[in-house]
Amino acid sequence: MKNNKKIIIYTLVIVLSLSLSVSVGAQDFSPEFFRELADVVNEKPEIEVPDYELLELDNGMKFYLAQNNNLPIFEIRGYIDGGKINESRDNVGITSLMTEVMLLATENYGESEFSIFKETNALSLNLGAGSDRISISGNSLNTESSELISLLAEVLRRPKFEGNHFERTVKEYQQLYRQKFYDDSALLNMHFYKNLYGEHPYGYNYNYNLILDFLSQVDSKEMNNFYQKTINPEDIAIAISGDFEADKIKEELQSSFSNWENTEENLNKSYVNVNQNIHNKIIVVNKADATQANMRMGYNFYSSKYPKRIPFMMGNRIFGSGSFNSRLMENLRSNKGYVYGTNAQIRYNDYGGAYFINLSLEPEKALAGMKAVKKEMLKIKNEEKPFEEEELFENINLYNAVFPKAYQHQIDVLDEIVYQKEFNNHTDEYLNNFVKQYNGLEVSEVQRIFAEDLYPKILFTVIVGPKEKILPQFEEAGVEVEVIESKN
Amino acid sequence: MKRLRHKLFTKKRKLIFFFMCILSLMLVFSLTAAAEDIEVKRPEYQSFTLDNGLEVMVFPDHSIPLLRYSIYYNVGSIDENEGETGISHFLEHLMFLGTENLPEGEIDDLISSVGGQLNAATSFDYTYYYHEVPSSMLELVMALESDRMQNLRFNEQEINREREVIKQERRMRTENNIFSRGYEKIKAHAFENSYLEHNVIGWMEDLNNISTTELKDYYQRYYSPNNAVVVVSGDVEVEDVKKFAQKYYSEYPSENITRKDFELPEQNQEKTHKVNLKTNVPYALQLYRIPAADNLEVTAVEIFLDILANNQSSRLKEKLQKEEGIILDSGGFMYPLRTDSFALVYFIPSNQNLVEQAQKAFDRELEKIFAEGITDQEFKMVKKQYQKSLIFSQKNINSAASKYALSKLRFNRVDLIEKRIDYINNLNKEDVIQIAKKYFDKSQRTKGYILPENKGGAQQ
Repeated sequence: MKNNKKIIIYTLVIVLSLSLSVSVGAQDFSPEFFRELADVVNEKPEIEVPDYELLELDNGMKFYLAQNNNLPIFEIRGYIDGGKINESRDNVGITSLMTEVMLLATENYGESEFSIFKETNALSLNLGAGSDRISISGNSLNTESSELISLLAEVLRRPKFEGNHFERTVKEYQQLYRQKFYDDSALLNMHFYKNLYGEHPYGYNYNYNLILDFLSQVDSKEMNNFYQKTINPEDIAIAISGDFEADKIKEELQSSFSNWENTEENLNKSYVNVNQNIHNKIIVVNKADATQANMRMGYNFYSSKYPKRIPFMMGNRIFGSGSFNSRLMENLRSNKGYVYGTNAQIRYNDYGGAYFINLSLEPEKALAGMKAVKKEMLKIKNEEKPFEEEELFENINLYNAVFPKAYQHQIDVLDEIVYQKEFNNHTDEYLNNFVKQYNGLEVSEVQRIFAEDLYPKILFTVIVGPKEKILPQFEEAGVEVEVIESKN
Repeated sequence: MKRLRHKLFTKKRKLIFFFMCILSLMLVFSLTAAAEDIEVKRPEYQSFTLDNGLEVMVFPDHSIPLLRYSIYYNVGSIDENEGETGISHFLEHLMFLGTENLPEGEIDDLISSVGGQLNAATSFDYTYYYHEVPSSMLELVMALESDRMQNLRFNEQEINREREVIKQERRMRTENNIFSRGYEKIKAHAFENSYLEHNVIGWMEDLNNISTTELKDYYQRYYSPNNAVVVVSGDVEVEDVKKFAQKYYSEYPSENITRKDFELPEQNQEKTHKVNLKTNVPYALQLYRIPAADNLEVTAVEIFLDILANNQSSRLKEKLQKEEGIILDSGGFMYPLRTDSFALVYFIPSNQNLVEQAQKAFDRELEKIFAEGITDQEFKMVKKQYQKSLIFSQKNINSAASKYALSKLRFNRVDLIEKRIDYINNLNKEDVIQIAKKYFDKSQRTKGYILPENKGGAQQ
């Protein structure tokens, strides 16, 4: 009897719990129901600093080594200090051309032998010419780590600039740069940056005419001289992570790089001069066959040393991260349906940065789009619609959630440590300090700092698109624009 | 005597050298044999099916406190009919506007508020939605996707506004990019009057005309539990997924989905199509037909494309680019689908005047590789690269999960990935050529050219 009672009670409990679970079925969805489920504050993440060993050679070349046996792989990332900043008006584009040729042939390997060696051993190795540094990245399976180090030494120390591969690459580059005059994004880059950065290597690098002039006369001797001046072991720092034997790798690195000598060369670098003549200026680059207006609005910004980077970054996320809930997307896409995507970007360089907003829209709506962007900026600048607590919380909460993913792999953490220690004088704890700083932000502070450095009244605007459809709206509004005919 | 001693010594040295050679050959052989056998650890996962046909796959990986929740619907641009091209992608956009239970913008706000991210993509043969959220938010995303599966709201005004966004996406991604614009036209010519004629974005005219009723019908036809696969990867427990799947999806009925006939029109002779655009550089495209993705021969086609056009040491790059200097670059890729599909090989002639010469050289290289085969070195190289890419893909559980999900969605099979590895391990270089000959036949090809509008205007 007692047992029967128990069975009845248990049955009732089961039936009741089943009916409860069914009652929260699809038919009961409501905003309140979802909001209850969405109640979470993500913990502040802690990034584990890899247990690395620093190997510094007598010539100043540095290797940060950290073992990780999770997978049988071997990865490298690194930097060569100095990039396009080392160029002058007369040799614009030389850094990109040099890094391309360095990856084609060396003194010991002809072009075909080089690619066969690389591919037979499944090695990946790349160099990227940036504004202030050349980046290095490569990987292999752990069984080919020695081959990857040997390939790296060949590329960095013994590139060959004489030969068919050099002549051919120059011709290919010429075609590549001529093609840029037919591409609306490339035209936008050219007219925006060459005006913003003016007579500075950062500006020259987007002036495709200057690059074509250089390509028409460059020879391997000039290339070799530039290589000798700019690629030195003391300027190189490399992160190595993966499944390897430390002693063996160190020995290989020593034997591959320790007898590489530095050349003494001082290169002059200068800061960008801000050209106030472009403030408030609008340029329309006529591209008659375009069906959209591709636009960028912006101004010169601080260098990488800007001390308020973190609060400004959070402010910019609220304003223009590109996600659906950013101010720009809400207004220009969700409310007006003008754009597919729009975002605001900060570009930090060592000698002068840029801040700009990107958008592309129907040509007839170019002015309306510009006005909408300015209006959103002014709402923040004039505190008409200051940042809200919730907006900042969402972005901090997002960073706390995704930070562990961004630094899930040891090579990513080590890469960041190398970069921050070597070029920005930070410590191993850079990432955790970064987390601490953005978590400690107050909305009033973010609002104040972002508004301080937001300048809607000086925006320089470049629009690439068909002038027949773009100009009438500006004429009607009495807004002055400069028209440039694209070459094609 | 001295001479004899020298001879013996020489002979002895020769013998030692000979044995060393044999030994080294054996060493190379065993190392090669070990390297040639591709072995990859299968990711640990569990799967189950609800009574209404919803397939669920769970790939636990607790290394970081995040999970990725994806739902794949077995519908894409190949399922669209004439006059409604782009409707799958249009519907994907509407899925973000709100449901009968959630106002516009709320889905995004909810995910943002928990520090999550969401997005979606439409392909030729599937549409998928994903959320990346903190692990504790599993129930939220499962409930949200459940709501979107059945209760999507169709508001005329919102739809028309989103139509403008989609049209802008088409302008941005297709119309104002020389390659995409030309490629769209060439592919349409190659697969005229077939399910492959249009691209995922659809034709502008159709985007202007798709009605709310058509969108609603399409949604009701394809967004059902038996036409979907749910994949959860990351910091997740299988039992929790089972519990919420039962709670939020089990009540939905399955739908009877009828599909159109997916057969490509017969092609018996080569086709050519030229598109003139404002460009300095010309592009040459060669489109070929390939079988559906469950045909293992597709793997051999992939290997062939690497040897022909993709590798730095590929035939086209070695001969046409490095030696003859008549092309700037080359490449090849496939779109494996649940139906017969296509592969694209492209090369970029160095200038407009070299298009014909480059085409002839391409044909010559293709004939040569068919006649002479591929080398041991080339074959070894691609297998090594394949092995490497499989090992590196293990860095991210989400990428493995999506491969299994697509296999399940398209063919209701999960063994394809292992089968493909077995297939490669048993493949020889002669097989690769035999298979390539079958699919890279001239009569099955469409040659397409994107050429400068002003003849003679090209700069060299």
